[in-house]
Amino acid sequence: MDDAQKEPRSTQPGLRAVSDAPAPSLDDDLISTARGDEASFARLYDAVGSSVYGLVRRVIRDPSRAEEVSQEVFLQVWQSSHKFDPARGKAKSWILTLAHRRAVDAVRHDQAATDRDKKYDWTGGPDYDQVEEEVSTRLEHEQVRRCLTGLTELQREAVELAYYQGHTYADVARLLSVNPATIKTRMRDGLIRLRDCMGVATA
Amino acid sequence: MMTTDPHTLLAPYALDALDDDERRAFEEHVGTCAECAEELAGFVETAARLGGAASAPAPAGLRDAVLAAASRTPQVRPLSAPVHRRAAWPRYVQRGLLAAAAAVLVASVGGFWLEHERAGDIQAEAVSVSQVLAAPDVRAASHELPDGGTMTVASSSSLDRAVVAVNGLPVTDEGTVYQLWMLQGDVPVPNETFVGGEGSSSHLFTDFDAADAVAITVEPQGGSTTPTTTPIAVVNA
Repeated sequence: MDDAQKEPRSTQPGLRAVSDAPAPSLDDDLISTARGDEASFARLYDAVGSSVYGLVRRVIRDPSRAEEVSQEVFLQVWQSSHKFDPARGKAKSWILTLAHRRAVDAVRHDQAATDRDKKYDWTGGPDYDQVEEEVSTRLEHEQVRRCLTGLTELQREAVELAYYQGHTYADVARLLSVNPATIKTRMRDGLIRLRDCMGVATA
Repeated sequence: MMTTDPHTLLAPYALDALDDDERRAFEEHVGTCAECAEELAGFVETAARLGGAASAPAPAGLRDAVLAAASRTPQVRPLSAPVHRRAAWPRYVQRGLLAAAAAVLVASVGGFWLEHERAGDIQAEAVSVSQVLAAPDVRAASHELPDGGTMTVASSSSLDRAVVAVNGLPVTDEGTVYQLWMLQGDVPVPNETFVGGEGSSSHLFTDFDAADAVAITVEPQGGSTTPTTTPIAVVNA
């Protein structure tokens, strides 16, 4: 039996394409969310919930506070989803950008109220030992890890202390006893190298 | 603060590594810098990939909490999205007000990614605007202004607030602005200023139950604490 007999439609690529129509993309779901479609919003949560929570927890560290902030992030996604423009970025990036900003603001706000001088977490980088990840997610993690190891020590520390721990570049400079201007340059060099390593399109 | 080349702040900005003041200053610059926007988009996407690599299983209760919160929270809707209409709410009034509310939402924000930053402030006002528009007791009236343009007043006494949307006024002369006032008896209480021109602007009024009328005047740049010119329009609240 060849394929054509089992599936007559395969001789008509157009029809086949229709019958194989993929599930709505994340971009589509975010766009529908802007119209108040709660089912799309739920699909969005299912697709990026662990990414949002993981990132927020990574920055904030306290799991219960991270849960609170993650909920705020999703509420903000729900309310401001009409601002998403698929021509200018992917839905997941849009959401993670929003989540990171909110996590950093929360951790700075919280820490301003407590002792900012406690011991810093020097472990840096993402958590690599998640076992429940899907294959595609693991590949993404693997790529990020590989790209991070391609940075110089100072580039990597500058990027990680800022991004994963929510420090300003001035804080990072103080922590590493390096001139702030140097830190800004290392962040820039580091991001350029990461961008090229990850194959991020530059418009 | 911005004595250094703002381009050196693109990477720290994308990593959320600027403090609040620098962030604001940077955003003002980048809104006017097309070349920055392009490089910034690449950095922002790169940072988001770093973010995606930190995923961790979310607590079991988070999904339900998120969906329940969304279910009871009204969205801030732009004009192009469908709108729940109320019988008491004439369609043309609603269209004008929503356009005005949407204009407030996107005002002065330079780019796609930058909309996050001010979302908090803008959202607080937009939520108030949408609450007024969605209030069960909202009353609205539209008025033609003598020099062209319209002013629409939508008020809710249960919320003690009103939204005033102004459309189609000519741009003011240099050094002057339009200013809105709430009149409590003969006492004018200053509200926001704007410059007119294309599009519309909407303005939130609080303590509106005490208002007898809304007036609009032309004032020097920056606005006044009491009116310095004769109103171009006064409409009953």
